[in-house]
Amino acid sequence: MQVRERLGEIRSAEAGVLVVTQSRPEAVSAASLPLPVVCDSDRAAYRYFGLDRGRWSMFFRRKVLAHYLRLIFTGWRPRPGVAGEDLLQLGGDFVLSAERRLVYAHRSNDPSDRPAVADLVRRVRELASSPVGEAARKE
Amino acid sequence: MPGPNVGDAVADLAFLRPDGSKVLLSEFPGAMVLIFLRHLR
Repeated sequence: MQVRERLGEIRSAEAGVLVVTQSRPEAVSAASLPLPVVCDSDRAAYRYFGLDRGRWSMFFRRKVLAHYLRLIFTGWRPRPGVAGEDLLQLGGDFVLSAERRLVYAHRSNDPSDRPAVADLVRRVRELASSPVGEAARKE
Repeated sequence: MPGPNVGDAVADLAFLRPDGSKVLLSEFPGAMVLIFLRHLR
């Protein structure tokens, strides 16, 4: 997901991006990611947001194999998991209002299941143009 | 493990910054896109 390429559009709607990883802080600091990142090594926030663990069989689904093939063609290489990471943990994408209400939720069913970045941008724009979003910006 | 529904208030969760210090979700002001990764690439 190329969120970083559309970060300007998200920020223009006066929203931020926060990336959560199950990796430990020392692994994140070594990775030097271009977005704000926080760590949830015990995966309490993953559980809170209802993000499931998948099964090993999910890696053999046709669309998941195609997903990883595409990644490999872009230079990504499979590697052993970072210590402490659960390889079966699934991700998710959420949009929160300034009042910290959930306005959009996508919980992945497999490693290839992510919303289009355009959908996230649209949700953020809708939020910014809603009465709630406009009121929050005036405060 | 259902998680919050759209419209629900979200708890003020605690995370660790890459430097190991604790940070709360409320310390990030404004609306936000929250992305949970499977793993670091």
